[in-house]
Amino acid sequence: MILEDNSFILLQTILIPAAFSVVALVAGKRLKEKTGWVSFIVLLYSSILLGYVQLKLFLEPSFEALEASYTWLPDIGAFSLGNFTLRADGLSTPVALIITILCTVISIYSIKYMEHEHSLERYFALYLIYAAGMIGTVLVTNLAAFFVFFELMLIPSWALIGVWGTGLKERVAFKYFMFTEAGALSLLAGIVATGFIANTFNIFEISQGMEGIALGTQLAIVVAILLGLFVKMAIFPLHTWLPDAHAEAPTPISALLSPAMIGIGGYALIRIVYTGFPAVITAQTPQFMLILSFLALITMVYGGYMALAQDDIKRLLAYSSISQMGYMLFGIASVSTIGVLGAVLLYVSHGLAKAVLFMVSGVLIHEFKTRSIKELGGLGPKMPYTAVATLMGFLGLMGFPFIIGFWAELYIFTGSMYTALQGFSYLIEPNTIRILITSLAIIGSILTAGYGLWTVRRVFYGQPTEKTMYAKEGSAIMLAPIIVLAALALILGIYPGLVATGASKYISELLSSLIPIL
Amino acid sequence: MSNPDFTLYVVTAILLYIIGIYGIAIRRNMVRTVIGLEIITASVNLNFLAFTLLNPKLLPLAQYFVVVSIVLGAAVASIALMLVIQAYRLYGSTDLRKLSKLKW
Amino acid sequence: MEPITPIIGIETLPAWLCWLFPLVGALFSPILAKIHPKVRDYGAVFFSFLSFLMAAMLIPLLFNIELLPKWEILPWIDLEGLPVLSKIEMGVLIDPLSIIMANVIAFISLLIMIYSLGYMKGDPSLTRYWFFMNFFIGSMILLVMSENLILTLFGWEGVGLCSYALIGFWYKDSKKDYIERWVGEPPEAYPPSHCGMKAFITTRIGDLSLLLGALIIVAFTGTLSYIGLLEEVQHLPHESMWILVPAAIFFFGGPIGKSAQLPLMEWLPDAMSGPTTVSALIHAATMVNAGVYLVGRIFPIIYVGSTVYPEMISFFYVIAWIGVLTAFVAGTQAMASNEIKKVLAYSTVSQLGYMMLALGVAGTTLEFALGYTAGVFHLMSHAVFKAALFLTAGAVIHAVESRFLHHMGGIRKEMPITFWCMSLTAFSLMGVPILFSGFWSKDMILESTLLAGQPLIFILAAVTVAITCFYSVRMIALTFLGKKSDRIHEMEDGGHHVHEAPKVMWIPYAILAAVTLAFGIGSIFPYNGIGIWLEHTFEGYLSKFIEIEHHLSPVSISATEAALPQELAVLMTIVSSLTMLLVGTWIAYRLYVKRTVDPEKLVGSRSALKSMWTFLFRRWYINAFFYKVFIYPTISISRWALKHIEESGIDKFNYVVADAVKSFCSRFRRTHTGVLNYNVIGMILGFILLIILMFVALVW
Repeated sequence: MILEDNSFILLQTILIPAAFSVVALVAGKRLKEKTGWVSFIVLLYSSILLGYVQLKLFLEPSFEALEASYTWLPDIGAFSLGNFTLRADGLSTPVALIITILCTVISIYSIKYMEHEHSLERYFALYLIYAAGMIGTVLVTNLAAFFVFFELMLIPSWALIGVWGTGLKERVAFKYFMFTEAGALSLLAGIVATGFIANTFNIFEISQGMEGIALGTQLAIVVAILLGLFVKMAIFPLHTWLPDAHAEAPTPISALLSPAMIGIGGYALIRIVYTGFPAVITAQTPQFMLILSFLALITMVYGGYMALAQDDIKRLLAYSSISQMGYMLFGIASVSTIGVLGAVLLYVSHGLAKAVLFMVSGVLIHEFKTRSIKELGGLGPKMPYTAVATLMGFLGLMGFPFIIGFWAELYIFTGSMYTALQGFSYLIEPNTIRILITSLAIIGSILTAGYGLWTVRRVFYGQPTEKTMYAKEGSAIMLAPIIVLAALALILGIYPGLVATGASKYISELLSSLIPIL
Repeated sequence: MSNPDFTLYVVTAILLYIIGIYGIAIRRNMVRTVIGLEIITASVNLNFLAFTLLNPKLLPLAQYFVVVSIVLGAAVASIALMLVIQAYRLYGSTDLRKLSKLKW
Repeated sequence: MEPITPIIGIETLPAWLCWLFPLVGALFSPILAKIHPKVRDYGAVFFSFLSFLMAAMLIPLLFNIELLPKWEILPWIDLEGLPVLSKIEMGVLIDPLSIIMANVIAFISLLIMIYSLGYMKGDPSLTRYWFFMNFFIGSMILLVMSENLILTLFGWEGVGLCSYALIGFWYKDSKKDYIERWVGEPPEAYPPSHCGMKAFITTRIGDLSLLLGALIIVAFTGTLSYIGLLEEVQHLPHESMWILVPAAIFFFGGPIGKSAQLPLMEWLPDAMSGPTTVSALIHAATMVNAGVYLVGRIFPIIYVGSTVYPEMISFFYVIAWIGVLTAFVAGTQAMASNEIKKVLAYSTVSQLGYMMLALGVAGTTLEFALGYTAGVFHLMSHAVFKAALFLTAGAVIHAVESRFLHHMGGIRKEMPITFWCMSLTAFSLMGVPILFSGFWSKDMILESTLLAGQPLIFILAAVTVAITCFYSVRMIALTFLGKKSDRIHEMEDGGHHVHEAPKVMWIPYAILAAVTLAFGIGSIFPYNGIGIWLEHTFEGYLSKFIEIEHHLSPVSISATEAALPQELAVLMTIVSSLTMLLVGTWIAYRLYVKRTVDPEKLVGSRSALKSMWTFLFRRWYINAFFYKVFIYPTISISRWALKHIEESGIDKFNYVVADAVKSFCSRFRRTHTGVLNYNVIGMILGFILLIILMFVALVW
């Protein structure tokens, strides 16, 4: 049963952070880094609202979604951009919830990390707009509004990298902006084409409008949309913006860019392509989706190899994110409920684990002023909490049980293998190529274990280096968010039903509706 | 009703037009540019009058236009020549290529 | 097969508590440590004692196998709409295999925890130690008790993590601890943290293979619960079953990794850089048995599958051959090792090979019960004597402060209890007849190979017996007999005398030595000796699931026909094992005890022997192979790819595009010359273009 959002819950989660960015701008001049508390409270409010929706999804089996619809722009003749519709269902709520939780705890982290930086009122104002943009992108179901929020995510992050980053920050920010913008333009082309051909911008009505349109046209539109989303997701070979952007961004922003933002590309894939273009997915399978699986495999392995060769810890984590996005795409391209559910769970697990790892790297940078792994070593005895958190983060990426990464990986690979072997659910034949790709993907995940454990060893074990001789544990404000997220990953690992129940319901309905269309 | 005179006038007008364009576009001397401008004006006037041969009813109107045009042409010429003199004073030559501040 | 109803109730509570207590104990360690260090120490041992109690409470069920299996599930994951894996329960499965394993684990863990009180005294990081030891015990028992593969994976990876953390326990890697805490000698000397990482990654490769096999299986059968799989495997469609053969073999990859079989065996010798208690617990008695356990669990499923689809038998052949080859290779490596713990490590790998071998040949015949029982019995007896051997080795290392055999020698008078315990348990390892359980279990294995009609495997296994005797005698002789080494003389000159281990340390291994004798004596009785009784138990239990009267697979029949009759097999077994025992012992005796020939000179004099010794010392170059072919190239490839593909290729593309745009724009700028003439010409050209376009538009 779909509930009407009469108390403006969803709208609040987006607008309140955006509105308070002005407050932060004004108040920040005096509060300086304490402005982070303002953003913390605001984002905590958004998290509570979304947490309430997620709990409702988990506890009430009959509850499906919370929808809100507002008139937006007036119609121009027969052309209309549709309503501004928001929807929190099994798919979008976990994603949005992770985004808000991450934004909330990272505000606290920013307080300590950025305390010596300048113009912090602008930082937090941009931060709040960035958060609002991300939440909005996930909650809207109107393609035009989606694009608006997509761009709204882009601009604050560009500014945040360019002003408070490190190294060649302006150039890196510009590269990031141009690259993502080029992808966004491709996305725009796809959206506009969809809007005109299907005569609607509402995601749920596109598939009706697309019935009867030639497969080639649909494929072209999907490819255009995919190009834009793949740039965002940093899939090989469109990934080159990510290492620079993540490495040179200020660490709290890296901790948001990597886990929260790039996964939105995957979420959008499920939302837009699966919901709107079922013909492409079913009629072209196994070829089209198989090509996507292969691309995902390459991304996974390539990201892993690149991570192995890095000495800069933030670049290593950036390449690791590329690899994890390969996993997500692998799950999405498996055309099975299990795989897509696994992709959503991977978003959650990667979000938590990568945020923990980036925050840990921030602690290390804050203490030792270096990003180079060669200069670090022997930190285990001196920084026990950090060491445990790092190990848990990497274990989560590896897919270790007791942490939610295990369930994500299990479902992703099961989904792909199921599609390869059974196929009778979606009228696909047993596909040896897919079996091979899945096997290679499973074997390739050894690279994650490799770079993860090796990094832990290089940084925390062994003898201390000259930089780390007099180290002490990071400050409590920086450690608290890390511990909160690690604990959350552990809780979800033991009981993943909290996020998976609602998601599996939605995804299974979504995919079962693909069957009649062949 | 093609009047052979008409054709002659129009062709002359076109020729004059081309000569005038040549003067503006190709010649380096600023004074020649002004001369070219005047030639173009003359050709346009001639063109107007040529068309009255086709339709004699237009005659008074056309004559008025041409007279106004001649006067305006004289004004334009005088101002243009004034600009040329200023440019000569500033740059010391009448070479048009010296006025190139609006370049890349 | 009649359906099995899960029984929920108080009878299954010990099965839950058995693994919950240690996990809770692990979580309590940091809290107890804040109260007082002694509270933390005794508290940790207390939780493992509780676990032992719970496991012991399950033993009566072994005598009433009609009641088994008992099975209890709690809802855990319940997701709508997924075709497979939508419902996963958290459950325990109580059957003879899990009861035996749980008891072995809990009992030996308790003894080792008590021993740790003495061995690890004074170490600064004891809280971390107790945390991981208890977490390990809990995970291991969870592994054997769980009723589905997912929960087993939790335990499986849990023990992997604990093993990583405990092997790399002294992760400071300080060079001054080289003699006691590192492992290996140059060029293969490794610090503890490296060994922990190596163990984790190697077993992870096995785990990924396990995952691959498991996913294929679940995609077919829709369930990962062991009881469910037993039912489903009979109803599978015939055409697609071909893929289950590679799936089963990939599945075996997990046990290959965890139980250190070829080719993933090299992590175990290097895992000796952890504390000896860790080596005893994890790498002798328990974790490495997880692979054997899993094979035992999956055995009835694949066996029934092979009656439906004969090609599945190749799974068992693979296991048997890998087992016997591992046994042989590892045994030879032990002959040339210089460290006491490494000898024991290779010995563990070798004995695990025996267990796998037994399970493998069991699957190829109709009389599966003998081989199956042989494998499990050897697991039990090996756990006992190997743990004792490691504990005694730990006492010696503590006394001599070195891990190298050439630093020891002649301390028999100072450490009599340790000497006798080590010798007795070593006799069990060698298979000295009648009194020692090792003899009965090893001979059962050899007998089952003959009954399965596998002469080659039998020969290799028998030769390995000789090798086993050789290195055992060598080890004891170099440790306790002969002259004292220079190092000991130095220590004694410095006032530090070698003395017997404290009570808290020698009581556990004395108990274990007594247990191995007890198992040995208990097996003597011809009709209800321990071995025979186990065989009847397993046969009775497994025949509930495996009904072989109806489906006789042709391969099994021919194997049984090639087998020898029972009495001949028994005779051959006893004769061969005794012969090999004498051969191995006599050679080692002459070389190391009587010292009639100096082994070093013997090896040094002939180049053939010297190269053979080097080959064995360098571990058949398997370790070097893995580094050269997999590890170093991976890192080099990643660095090369970073330089040449990422930076010069793909990333460069961005800059190529940007530079192209920039240069185009800067050239295009030149059209703005600022000269009026060109502007006019441009204007005229524009006019003409417009007029042409107008005409074109008009014409269309």
